[in-house]
Amino acid sequence: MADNVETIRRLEATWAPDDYDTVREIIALDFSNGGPAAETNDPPNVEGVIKSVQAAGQAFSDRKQELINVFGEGARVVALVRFTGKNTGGLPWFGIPANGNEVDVDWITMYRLEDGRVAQTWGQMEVDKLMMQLGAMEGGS
Amino acid sequence: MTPEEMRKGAEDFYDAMNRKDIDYIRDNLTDDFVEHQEMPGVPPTREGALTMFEAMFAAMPDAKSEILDTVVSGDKIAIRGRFSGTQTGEFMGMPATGKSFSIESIDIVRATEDGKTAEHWGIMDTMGMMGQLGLLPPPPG
Repeated sequence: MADNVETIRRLEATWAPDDYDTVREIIALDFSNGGPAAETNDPPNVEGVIKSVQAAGQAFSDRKQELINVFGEGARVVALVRFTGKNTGGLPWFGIPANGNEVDVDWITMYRLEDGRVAQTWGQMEVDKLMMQLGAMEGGS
Repeated sequence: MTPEEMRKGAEDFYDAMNRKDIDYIRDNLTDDFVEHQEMPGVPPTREGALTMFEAMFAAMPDAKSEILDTVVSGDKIAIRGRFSGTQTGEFMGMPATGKSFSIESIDIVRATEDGKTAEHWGIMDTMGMMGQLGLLPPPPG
């Protein structure tokens, strides 16, 4: 159980430094991915997730990820991550040009591990806040 | 509290939300309750959260919150839930649509030894909700 939490700590530390070998070691190739962002992964496996993260890396050249909260129970681990960065590269798939806007958003992922590897995830991200910070959507109220 | 008591506390809170029991919710939040989920126009405090719950109860009278999964460790519980209902009134800048929605969320709560809610982080699929309500702006460009 503590080992699973340690595994997710390692995983969450890999994204910003582009350490995809560790990502492939920790996430099973055909893991089951739930949540609003899941359907955008192409291909629909860990390689699709890595491609999405690489695209985000080009958009936010100085991106940082901070693990705010991580804990687990049995096979499941929850992580709350704060993402910050500046839009220096643009997000063409959203029709957003590079504009230097600063973003600061959270996401929460619930992981289920099997034999020490991620087998299933459920995630939520502050996409609405991200879109407002990028100037792609008007602030609601 | 034991993990079982933590889970029972979450169930009781969800039951209170479903019967729109603002008095239960007020009693359950500590005086120095901290809300980390951004709530436009209200402070991140107990009073702010109560204002938000009252606005939600008024705008979505049939709103239903359901617990799909929980992860407990120490004084923290993560709850993956489903939030559904019909938006018949204005809510957080969203005009009344009369349409219904069903989205997922992940919440993290820190509880006190006597079962009160001291701190809350949460993200719901707001973009999914706005899409289902027909409120998403067209993409720019």
